[in-house]
Amino acid sequence: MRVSDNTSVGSVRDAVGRTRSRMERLQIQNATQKKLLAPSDDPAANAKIMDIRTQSTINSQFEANANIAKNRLAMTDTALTELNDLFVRAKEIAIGQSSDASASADSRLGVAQEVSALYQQLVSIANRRVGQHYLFGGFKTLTPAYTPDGQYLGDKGEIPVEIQKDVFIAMNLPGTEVFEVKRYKPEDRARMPAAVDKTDLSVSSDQNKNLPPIEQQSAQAAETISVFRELDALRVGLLTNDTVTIRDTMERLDTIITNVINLRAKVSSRVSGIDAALGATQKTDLQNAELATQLEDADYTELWSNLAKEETVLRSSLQAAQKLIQPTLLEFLR
Amino acid sequence: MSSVNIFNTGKSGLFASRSALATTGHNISNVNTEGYSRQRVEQVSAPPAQIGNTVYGTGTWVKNVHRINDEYLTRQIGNEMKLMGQYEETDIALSQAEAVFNEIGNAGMNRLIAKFFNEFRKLGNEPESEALRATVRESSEQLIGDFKRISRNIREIQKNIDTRIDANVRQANELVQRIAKINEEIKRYEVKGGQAADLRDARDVAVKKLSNIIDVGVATNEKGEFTISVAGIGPLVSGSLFNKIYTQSAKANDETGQPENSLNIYLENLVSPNITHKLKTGKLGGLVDTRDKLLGGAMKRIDELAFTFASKINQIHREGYNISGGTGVNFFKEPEKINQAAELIQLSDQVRKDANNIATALAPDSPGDNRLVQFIAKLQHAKVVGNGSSTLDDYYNATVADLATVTQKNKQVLEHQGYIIGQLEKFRESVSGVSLDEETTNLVQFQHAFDASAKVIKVADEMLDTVLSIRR
Repeated sequence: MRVSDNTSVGSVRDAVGRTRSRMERLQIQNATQKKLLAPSDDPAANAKIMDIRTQSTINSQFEANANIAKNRLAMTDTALTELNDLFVRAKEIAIGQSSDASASADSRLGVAQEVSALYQQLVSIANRRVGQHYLFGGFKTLTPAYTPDGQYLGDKGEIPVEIQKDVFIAMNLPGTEVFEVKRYKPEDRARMPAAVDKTDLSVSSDQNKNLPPIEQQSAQAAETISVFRELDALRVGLLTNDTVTIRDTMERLDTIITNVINLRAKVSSRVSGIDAALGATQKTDLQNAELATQLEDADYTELWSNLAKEETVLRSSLQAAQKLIQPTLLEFLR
Repeated sequence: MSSVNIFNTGKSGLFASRSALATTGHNISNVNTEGYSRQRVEQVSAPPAQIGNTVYGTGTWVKNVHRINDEYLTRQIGNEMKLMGQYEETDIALSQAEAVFNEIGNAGMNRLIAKFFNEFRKLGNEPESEALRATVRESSEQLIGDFKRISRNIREIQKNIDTRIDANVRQANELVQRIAKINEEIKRYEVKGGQAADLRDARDVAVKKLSNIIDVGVATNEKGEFTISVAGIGPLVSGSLFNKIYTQSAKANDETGQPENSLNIYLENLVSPNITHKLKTGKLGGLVDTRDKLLGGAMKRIDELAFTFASKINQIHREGYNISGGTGVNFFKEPEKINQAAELIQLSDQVRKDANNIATALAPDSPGDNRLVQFIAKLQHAKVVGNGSSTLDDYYNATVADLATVTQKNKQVLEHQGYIIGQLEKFRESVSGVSLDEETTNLVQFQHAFDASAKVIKVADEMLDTVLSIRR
């Protein structure tokens, strides 16, 4: 092939230019520590990275949510423990004072004082606060859940919290569940569905009007025992030295204690659910981080060996250029 | 045979060598001239003279000076240049557009959408909090700001494209006029049969540059005139006549994706002079395609995203109750149309005035009720955009991925096209380019020929002297 002056100069320029542009790219990758510099470098990887980033942002919130829910449930559990102790004590008193063998009108009058104190404690537990919110008021978190005479001011709201995509868990127990204990006839209890966390927030995009009903009716209870009324009944029974009333309360106090124990089981099962979700989320996060690193971070060994390679190429092109461009016939004709 | 004829023969050789030397000099001085083709003197022996039965040669004639050129290669380069122009302009615009969507190093819409929903989730943990409402509003403002940023940047790139269209049209017109003028000059020079080599080179360069801008076809018409037409559309140059290309501002067009006040391209003296979307290749083709189809398409998707986002959030938000018991409040100002939705998206007056108008509850007077927030958070995973085919995140990511794929593909073909053109130019240089070594050799060769011709004259002179001295 005939070679003109522009051909050889052009070849040198092309070769050097191409090597330089590759080196420039490696240099930027080195400076940013990223393999991907623009979405077009690898559109698929870029899309995946954006997806991972969204997921990890959401996941970090799910983790925060889970911790907040755990905190609330721990506070609830503490309150339930206190409640349990309180009613165990109340039951002890009821048992102790129900027979004339071990107690007298005087002693009853004395322990009535203690029951009064227990009652105050009960009101205080019912109006337990976490930060500024009342724990047992359902959705009505800014007003006390109970009046001192045991009137419920809250609602049946169970506050849902998302701990994993589409997994909601209620982070509170509404006061009605704790302080108004339902007693079922045995035959009704058999027909009742198993206790399910009923925070079902299934939503389809187009049917946002289809929001869940605020109150969900459970099976009809035979009798509702107000914890407040029961404790007050015990106190009145003690004051009036009425052993029949005192004995009457014993069975109901038992029901109350059983309920508290059930509720504690419910709370702890929620907490273990949260822990499982947390574990899963953290595992996903770890995998995602690993994948993102593979997709976007520069591999140092590769980067440096490539840089060294390009440098060699550049040097040899320049050396070749020296041989190619310099000699001309004119030098020999002088 | 007279010695006078030897003088003439010597003289013809002298002249021919001088022409060859002059042409060599011309070649050397044009070694770096763009599009120059090396020239050669075409020499033929002079018509012989017959004396008696013998036929004698009478020296040499310079028949022509012509350029060494491969027409086919020149056309091929022109053909590849139009693709080069298209890819180059597309690359410039798309690289800019890509930067708008590049979230590898910095926060963009992808992260802000996630943040928006996360702030709502935080509010869900403490729906009573006024401070968290303020942060929800803040993150919404950021997201709104990003919608506007994308919308404005894309529009800005489209405006830059219009500036480039204008500049390229102007350059095309200059080239068209230059070609028409060169046509006329070539005709004048070549009427006597010679070849105006340098003018032909200049015309080839102009045509090559024009091909880069607009897809043109080159031909010779029945009168033997050099003609150029916009491929498949209409004539640009015919001999010394030419048509102008011009631009005019146009209205937005949903079908083509053309933005408001963008430029249309017209060609004079056509029945339907609007050739904007008939141009497929060349810089103009690439610019129009990028502006309307690629960027216009991406913008449409971002607008749809903003529209769906605002109206869906509103739809849910209106169902809820805020901390002061109000309901039916819009979160964003309800968008009216998809077109320009990203530019016009903003918070509703109520929410902007007071963050406490942000609803969290499904029931009135329930400060701890966060169920509405959960519905809003769930929207992040709901397939609501693109006729219910994708989620907000996916739709945005797909828009970015589409654009990135087109950019990547274009970068690849651009690089490839660069190689093709480089290779063709190398071929052309190999045929037409000046080699200094070769010209130097020629210089020596022609100088020797010149010396020898001079020697012939000297010998003839001595012969004449000898003859004249006989009488003495």
